[in-house]
Amino acid sequence: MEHKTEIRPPVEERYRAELEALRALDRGRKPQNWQLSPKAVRTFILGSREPLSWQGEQIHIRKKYLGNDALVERCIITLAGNRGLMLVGEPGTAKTMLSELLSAAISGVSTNTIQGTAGTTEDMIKYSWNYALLLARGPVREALVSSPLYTGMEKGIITRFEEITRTPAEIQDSLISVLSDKVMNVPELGEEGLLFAREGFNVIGTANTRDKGVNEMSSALKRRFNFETVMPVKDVAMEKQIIISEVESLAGQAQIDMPVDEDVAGLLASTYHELREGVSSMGHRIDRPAAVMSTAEAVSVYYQTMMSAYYYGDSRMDLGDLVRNLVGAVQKENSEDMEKLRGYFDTVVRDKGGKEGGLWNSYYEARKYLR
Amino acid sequence: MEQLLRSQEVPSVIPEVPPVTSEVPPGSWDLNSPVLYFPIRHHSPACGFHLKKAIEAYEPDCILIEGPENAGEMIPVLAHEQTRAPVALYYFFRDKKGLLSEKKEDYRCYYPFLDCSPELVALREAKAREIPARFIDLSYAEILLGTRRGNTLSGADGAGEDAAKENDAEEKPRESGSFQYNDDYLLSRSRYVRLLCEKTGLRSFAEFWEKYFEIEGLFLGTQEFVERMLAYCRLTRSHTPWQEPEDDGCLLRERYMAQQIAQASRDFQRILVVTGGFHTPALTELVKWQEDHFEYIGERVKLHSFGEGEQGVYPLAYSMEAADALNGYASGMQSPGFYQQVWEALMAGEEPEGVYREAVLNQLVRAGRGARKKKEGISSYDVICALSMARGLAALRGKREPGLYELWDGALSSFVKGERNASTDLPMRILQELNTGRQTGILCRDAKRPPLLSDFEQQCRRFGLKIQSSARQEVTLELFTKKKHLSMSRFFYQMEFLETGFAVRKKGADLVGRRDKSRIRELWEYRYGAQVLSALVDVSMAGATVAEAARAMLIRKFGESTDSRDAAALLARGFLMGFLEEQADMGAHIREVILEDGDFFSLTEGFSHLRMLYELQELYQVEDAAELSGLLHISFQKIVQLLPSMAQVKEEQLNACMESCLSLYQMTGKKGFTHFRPGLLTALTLLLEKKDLRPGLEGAVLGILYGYDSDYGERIEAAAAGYLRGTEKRQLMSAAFLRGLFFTARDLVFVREGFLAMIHELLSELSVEAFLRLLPELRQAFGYFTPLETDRIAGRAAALCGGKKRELLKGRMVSPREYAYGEQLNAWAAQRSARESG
Repeated sequence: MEHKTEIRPPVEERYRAELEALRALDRGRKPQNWQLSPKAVRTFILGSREPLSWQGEQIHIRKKYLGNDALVERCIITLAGNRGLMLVGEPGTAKTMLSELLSAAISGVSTNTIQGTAGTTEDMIKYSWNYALLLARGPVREALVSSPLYTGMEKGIITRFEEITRTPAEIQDSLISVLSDKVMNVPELGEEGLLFAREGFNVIGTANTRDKGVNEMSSALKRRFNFETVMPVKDVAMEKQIIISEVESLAGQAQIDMPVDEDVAGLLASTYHELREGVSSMGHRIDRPAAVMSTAEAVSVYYQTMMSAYYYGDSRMDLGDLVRNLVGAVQKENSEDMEKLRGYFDTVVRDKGGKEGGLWNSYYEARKYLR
Repeated sequence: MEQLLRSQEVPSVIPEVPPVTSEVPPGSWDLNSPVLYFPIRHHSPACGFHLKKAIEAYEPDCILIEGPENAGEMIPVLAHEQTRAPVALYYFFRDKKGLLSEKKEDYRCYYPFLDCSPELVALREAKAREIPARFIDLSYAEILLGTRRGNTLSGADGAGEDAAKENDAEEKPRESGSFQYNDDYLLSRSRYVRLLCEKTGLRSFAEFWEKYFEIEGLFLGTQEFVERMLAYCRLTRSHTPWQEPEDDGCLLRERYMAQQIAQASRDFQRILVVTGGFHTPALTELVKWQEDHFEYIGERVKLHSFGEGEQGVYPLAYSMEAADALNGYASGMQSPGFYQQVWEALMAGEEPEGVYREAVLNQLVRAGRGARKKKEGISSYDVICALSMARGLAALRGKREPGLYELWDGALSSFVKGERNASTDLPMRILQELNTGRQTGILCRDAKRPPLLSDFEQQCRRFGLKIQSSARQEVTLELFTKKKHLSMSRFFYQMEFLETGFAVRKKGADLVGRRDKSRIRELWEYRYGAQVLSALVDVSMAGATVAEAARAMLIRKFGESTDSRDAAALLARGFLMGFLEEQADMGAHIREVILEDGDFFSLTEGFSHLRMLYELQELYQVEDAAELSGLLHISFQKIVQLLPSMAQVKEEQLNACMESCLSLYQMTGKKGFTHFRPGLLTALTLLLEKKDLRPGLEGAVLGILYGYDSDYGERIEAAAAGYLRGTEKRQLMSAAFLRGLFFTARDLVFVREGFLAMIHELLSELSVEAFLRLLPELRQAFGYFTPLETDRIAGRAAALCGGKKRELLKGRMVSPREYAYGEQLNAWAAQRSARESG
């Protein structure tokens, strides 16, 4: 039989061994219907120093979320409580990844998800009907098509609501009563129409604060969530580490057998970091591009360059290619961004080349592709 | 090696303390021992709590405390019932002999005490038990001198930072090379602490400390607590490179303290020694029991001798705000307001169980209420959620009770609605303020204080100024009708000169900036606060009264001034501060400065200051002590000499130069100054003769001369025509010429018939391009006219073109077709130019 692989298997699949080991060895107190105790959830996301030995194997729990540990702890406690969790922040700050990790660790599934768009309607959030069955048998439970929110309440698991601010505010508000009363009424089902949420149910929302076309949230809905602002990575060394580990995992999945060049990752990390912060490590003041300079973007720039090196080149990172991909990533919305990138090369990259030489010099030479 | 280090010869082989191992030796806590060592971290409530218990259990007959020995006489003040924490000891050392650096700088630092500071607990307990308490550390000056490379008390304390008498960054020797920290030292220490935090899953050393010592420490027995402290301190010490405590003077201090302990052991039977935990292990190894007392076994510390006023200590009322480590005072602690609550609960006799939980709840409720007052929608339910978050986090982090970090995290997730930014952050700022605390300290009445402080308070009482609160106050002074108000004004100026931040003049004549000279009232805003006190203490050595200190400072600054601008400005400030007797001496100094000064602008500004003072003497009814008329004369001579060399003045100085010329001319028209005029006119004529004279200056000078002698009118017209008809470059200068001219002689346009006509004619000869190039400067040139004058000029200009003034404002109606054509043309031009430039 042909072995099929998904492009991106869900978190619970990817880390099945880790989750199983943690579950088996978990001695901590668990909130009802949680798969792991809060401590084990923390370990799953933030990693452990010592490997776990389980079923004769040493299982390393890798740190999966690099960033603010206290934020992760707050997220876990929020989910054990009465309020939903809302992760807000700039695009590319790993909000979705964090919400997947949390759901997979707490409920064992990360796929019970509503994907918010401008076209999301209330029945996508609550429930809708299988009309053939409805006509044949009337309003019975079997005819009801449950939404991820419905499923979450019914099974006592986490429902993820991605990009919540892309849905119109009045649609978002259908969550209000569900979140406060933990009950959903399906009037069509008559007396059996009250769905009480089981223990373990909660909602993780993610929302962008910067993209075009996002809607405001009503303050009533805001009150039902604890907010966590996910900040871009502040530390260049950590950003480099994220690029390396993300690219490694992407390359692993795509079976690209090519090591990650740490120096190039470092170069890219400083470029993104400096363009985002508006100041270089040497103190230059830089015009910040309007485009989102997220770590996720840096990863994709690196990965693209890596792929062309692997398939078309000699498996070595080509800085010219890197610059071309960088242009593609930066030049999206605003034509001035290109000027800003050029300015960055003509000042920071030039001076770093002069000071540090080597890779920065080649990077500076590759500026001819900036167009 | 171990044997060698532990042998009797240690002091002679290595005159320092043998390295401390990380194991706590058995019997470290023996209540029957003649000396009991109690290791502390400064400002730690848990240490204070156990210290109190230790004193009760041990019943010492003397308590020795790590604190500069020369602050001994402050102990009664600190322990006094009337004294309320936070208070601080303020140390200063004036390096008059240049022992620390050739610059002979002043050094100062604060040593704050909070209610929970173990040192203060020890002092208060000693007083209550009527037993002596002593400070046993080296004096501040000795510590500075004992520090290699001028590295002052760089934090090698049991708890990882010597909070005791650490200078804050600004106070450290200002010489750049003199307080470099050794990076290796920081690295090793921070590496050890970092690994510790990483292993325990905590964010920082402060969080580590809170979890294991502040919170858990409360539930330990005193002996257990002390042993845990000692274990930690020994570990820190054994991970600190040998050289470091040596370099930052730590070893020297330990030797001195051990010496003091040995000394005290001859007089007392039960001595409690309270020092930073880092020192405790070393101290025990520097003394040895001999029959009935301890003998010091190290090299004796040699002390320096200091003269009168070279070093000193004063007690100060302090504030929580200043004591908060987050405000940049390394000697403070983080969030003292929060720990104060914990301390108060413990002192009220509450059991340790729940003390932190209560404090967290309390702060959340107060922050919620504070936020509601500021119209933030924080409900009680938010507070409940925040509390349950804090408790949940404490459980997750394995803490017995939620502490400061859980308080903060709880509030952050429940109180901040939406993305965290400046607009949603208010509840967090309120919480931060509450955690810092708002208390201010009070000193008992008989506390020794610098006479300057008493004088300041006395003056404030005399003038009825409110210094009981730190709110802003305003007062209006009528200088010329009330004598008291004049004295008040002088007092405010003195305080301002001493840079105390006490008073700011909001309105009134600004004699230094030479603005609003005709105002006869002054409006002052003043605000009392701890920073005023400390600023006064800083200058307290300059004099016993505010006036004396300001005078001394003025004389010093004046002696340092090297150009006439600064010197004359200081003279004016001295005048404002009422130091009229000094004016004679200052006058003599200014004379020298003027003679040395070769800068035209400095001289003219200085001249203006002097002139203003000269004019005001009558108004303020003072005699000409500084011999201002003589100074004015010399100064004027110099200016006149320099004036012709200003022909090629830099573009950016042109305006200043034009202004100087005009004000000099105006001044020579005033009574008492007319004899200066001929000299000035000669200098101006000389300036005109310079070939490369700037057109702006040329215009200005000609304008001035025209004011004196209208015969210059013709010359002006000739010059203007010359510029306008000149070669292209010269033509461009014509506007600058006119600008200079109108700056000094606006009236010429109206008085001299035909001038406008000439300008008109010349301008009409210009090509459109040339005119457009000139236009910006021309606009500026005509900008000197008042609106009424502009109107008159416009009228005349209209007449020259055969129209009437009124018609200027009326335009012919534009037909829609014309308008449409215009728009089309405009669009075409824009497109064209975009294409060409792009």
